[in-house]
Amino acid sequence: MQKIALVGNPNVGKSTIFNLLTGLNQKVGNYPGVTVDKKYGTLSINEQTIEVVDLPGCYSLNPQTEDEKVVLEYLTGTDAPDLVIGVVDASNLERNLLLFTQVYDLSMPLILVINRIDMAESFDWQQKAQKLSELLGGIAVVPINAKKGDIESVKSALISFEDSKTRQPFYEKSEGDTYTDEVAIRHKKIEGLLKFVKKTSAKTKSRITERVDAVLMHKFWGYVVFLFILLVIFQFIYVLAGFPQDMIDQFFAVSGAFVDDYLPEGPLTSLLAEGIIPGLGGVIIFIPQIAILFLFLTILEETGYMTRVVFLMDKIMRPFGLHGKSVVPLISGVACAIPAIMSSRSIDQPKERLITILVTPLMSCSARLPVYVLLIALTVPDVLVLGFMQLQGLVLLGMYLLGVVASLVFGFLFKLVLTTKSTSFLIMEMPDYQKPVLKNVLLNVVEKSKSFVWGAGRIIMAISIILWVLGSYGPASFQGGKQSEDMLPQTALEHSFVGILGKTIEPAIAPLGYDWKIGISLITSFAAREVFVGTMATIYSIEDVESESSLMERMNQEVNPITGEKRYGLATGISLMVFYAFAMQCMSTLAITKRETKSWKWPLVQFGYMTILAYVSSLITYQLLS
Amino acid sequence: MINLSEASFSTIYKIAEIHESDLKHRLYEMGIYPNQFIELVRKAPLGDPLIAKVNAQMIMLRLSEARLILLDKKTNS
Repeated sequence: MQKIALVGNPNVGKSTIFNLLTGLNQKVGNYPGVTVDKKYGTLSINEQTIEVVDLPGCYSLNPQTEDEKVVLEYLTGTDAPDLVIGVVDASNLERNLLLFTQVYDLSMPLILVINRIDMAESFDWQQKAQKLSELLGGIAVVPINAKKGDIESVKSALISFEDSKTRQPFYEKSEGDTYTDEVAIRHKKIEGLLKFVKKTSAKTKSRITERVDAVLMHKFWGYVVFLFILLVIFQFIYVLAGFPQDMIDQFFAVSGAFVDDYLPEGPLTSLLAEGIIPGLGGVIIFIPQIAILFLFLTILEETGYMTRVVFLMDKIMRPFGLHGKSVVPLISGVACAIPAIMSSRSIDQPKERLITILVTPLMSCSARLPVYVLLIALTVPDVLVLGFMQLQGLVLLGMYLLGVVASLVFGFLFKLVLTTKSTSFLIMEMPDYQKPVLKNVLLNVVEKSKSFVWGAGRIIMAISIILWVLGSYGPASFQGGKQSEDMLPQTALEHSFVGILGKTIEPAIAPLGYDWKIGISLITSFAAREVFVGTMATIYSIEDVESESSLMERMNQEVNPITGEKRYGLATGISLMVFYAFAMQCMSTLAITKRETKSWKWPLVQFGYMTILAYVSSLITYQLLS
Repeated sequence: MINLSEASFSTIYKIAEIHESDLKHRLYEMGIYPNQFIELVRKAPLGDPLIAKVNAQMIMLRLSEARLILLDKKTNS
């Protein structure tokens, strides 16, 4: 036996069993041609290494959704496992066994694991398992409670497994049977099979659930609690992620400087000090936010609360082409679009998930804040509106609202434009509340961080090196003379490829109220939006980047040669903020969109529509205000 | 005959028929098919989606899906 696969409905504790079997020895890969993740790991039994595949949770093998297709193709394909572990929930045997009997009829080597035996009325599970095994052609039936860590009985069933008996098909197709007839017949036969198992009635546990739900799904309190939970999560992200992020930032800054000082001068050293090390830092810096967000989101998912969020929000989000679960990525987008887009993976409707991914970067993330702050201080007069509201504060609020409105409007537009093969639907099980399993939560946090580093990190790294080359070298560097060390940083930047590009696009951005200096900053801040501030400081040769006031003073003196007015007037300032609110100035977001949609098409669409939106809106803004 | 979207709370109905649609098979797979008993448990604040109890399981559905589920006379209240 070399390969085994876990098959089961959603919410039966399949992942818990997978985690118990494989521990930290797990990876995430791809199934060819689809966006579904392949989770696999290894298990050692008797010094033999077995590959374990956790197939996506599904309700049947009727290949309607992408998940069902993946499961069917995997089980019947050339890469088929040597043994299938069917997992069912003891409190819901009847419906769970539908999928199991379909796998049974594929005539694959099979064992049945009945999980959560604590949730169903207590009777002798060993005896019932024996009886079920007889009725199912002698396959091994193992009752466990995975939350308690029961896994030895599953392992011993794997060791003693023998597949000698030929089994009778559970369902035989008769002339004229439709698929729904098949399902009905299977259900009827399963009912007969389970006659000896007392029907499980709703127990005390679900009565607790009912009471909690009366509050959490209340038409007023439900939303209050939801908002409160979101507020707590974001407070934690800001407070907890801020510290490690500063550490990471400083560590990479110091390492870069160290390399620069101690290695012999040359292009390789500067590649390492200014390209590779900051690029690596730019990847690692996201990990605290990703880890903290997924710590909370996995807990919400595991407890069953996320399903309640769908219940509360589905109707509100639907007109905008979004799903009840889209609220979480959208609101997380205010912190950072990277973990936000990763969190859209829990949306199981492909179209709604894609729209969520496409519009999430329109929410104003924390990297836009330094740009807004600088430009507001520079261009928006410090006056009171209606005698008590600060205009500057109102403008900042306006920038955030602009993001919310734009994401909803574009959600609506994408809903009209994008076509899908399958109808959108919402038929979901409402699980009882459960205590989260710590191991599942932590493994998910690790998995999400790893998949970011491997999936998106490489692209971010590559682009930062390209940006570094374009910003440090110009045509002059290839005509004998290297970029002189004596050259002032702003002159070096001006004569680099980025500088030339910034000047080339000047005619295109002049109607928006920008000059080539802003043009250069627009290009460099593709690495990350907050780079805008640093680039401006370089261009205006401000030595001390930390001191924002000197940069502001310098920018304040800048005059528009055509109009003779201040370069950073209200019109340019607002126009530039609108540009930053809408433009896809973030290679990391594009990298994660590529990772999540498994195609370059969607990051390109995202980049295209956001750039056009930014350009047109800034043009209108500037022309109206100037 | 009424459908699930018109059902009253705390009343157990017998499912008479599932309307032909792309989602018929999914409803069957979730245990929602003729002769099963179903109860409307809760409606979302905006009236949609709703939660129904079938075979001791809570299932969330949108109104558009609930309309596919045709119900027989009341069984008890």
